[in-house]
Amino acid sequence: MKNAYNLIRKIHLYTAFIIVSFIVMYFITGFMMKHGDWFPQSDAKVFSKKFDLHISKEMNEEEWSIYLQDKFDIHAQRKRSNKNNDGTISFKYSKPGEFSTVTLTADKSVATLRTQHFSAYGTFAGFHRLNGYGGGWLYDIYVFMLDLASIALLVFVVTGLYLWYKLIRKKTWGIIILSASIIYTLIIIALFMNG
Amino acid sequence: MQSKGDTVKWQKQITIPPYKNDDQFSNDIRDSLGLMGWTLPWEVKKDSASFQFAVSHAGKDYTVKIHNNENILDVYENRKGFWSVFNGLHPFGGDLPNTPGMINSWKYYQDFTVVVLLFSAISGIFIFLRRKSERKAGFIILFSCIGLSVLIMLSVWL
Repeated sequence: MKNAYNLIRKIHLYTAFIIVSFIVMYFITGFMMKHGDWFPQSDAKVFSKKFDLHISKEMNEEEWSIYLQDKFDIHAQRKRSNKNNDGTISFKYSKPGEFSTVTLTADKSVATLRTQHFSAYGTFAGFHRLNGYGGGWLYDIYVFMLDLASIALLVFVVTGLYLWYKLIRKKTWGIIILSASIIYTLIIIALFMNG
Repeated sequence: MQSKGDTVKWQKQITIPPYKNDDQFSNDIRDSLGLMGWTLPWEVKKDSASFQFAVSHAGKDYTVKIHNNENILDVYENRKGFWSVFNGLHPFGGDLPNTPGMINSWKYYQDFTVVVLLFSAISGIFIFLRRKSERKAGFIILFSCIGLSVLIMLSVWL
């Protein structure tokens, strides 16, 4: 039994160590987003530029996205492309603090790069919102760390409950607080479902 | 009982408020109907004979239709289900129109949770520091993980 306790204690401790930075990042950026009006905000600065392309090679949209990212030296996560009604295609790239769109004409001869630079607030929000695999290896690692942080938080809660159950003799207050928070959340959900 | 995805139509008679603009008109009708949620400006559809708008919150979507400025309105109510509400609690920051005060108290609970979690992280590391046996290995892992995490964040940003 003592071995099980020590194992759970170590899982709890080292899980927290591994993900503490990402969890703190989530707390800080989430708090800033929730209280956006407490922080200075300014409009994004927009830069736009046109480029002539001379490409004879046939490429699919994914290859175009990678090609344009390399050509315009965009260090950001590749997002899904959009086909517009006028035949142009928009390729999107996002990273904290920056959002770029490259619009390619229907004949694929001209590309327009439009880059938005956000304020510090927008950058923090970008860290919080970055998601989705497949936009480049660096961003895949980041998203993996976010997934790991989410799983670790669950492990952290479960192992924490186990440690509390084993360590604390008088559990009355713990049970009251735990029950109250669960009941409160369920009431909020019920109010939303029936509101 | 209405289940997830089912759309229920009901009607209600109200006094139609004066029209100033789409937002004000939609909000006034929503308030007269007592619907909880935000009106969605991009969902407004109107012509000379009718006006339609949508109201939404984490648990339900409503589409409200007004025909020829008649006092009886058609309301189409769609329930989104448990998981939609569960997901919706994450970004919900309170101040939802026409809600019971308890729902808007969620924003204070969120703030409290953030403070408690930060305190847990800091106090947990403090408690760990008091044990000499694992201090060295723990410090190596802790600072390696913090260094690696910060490096990944900087690489993504720069």
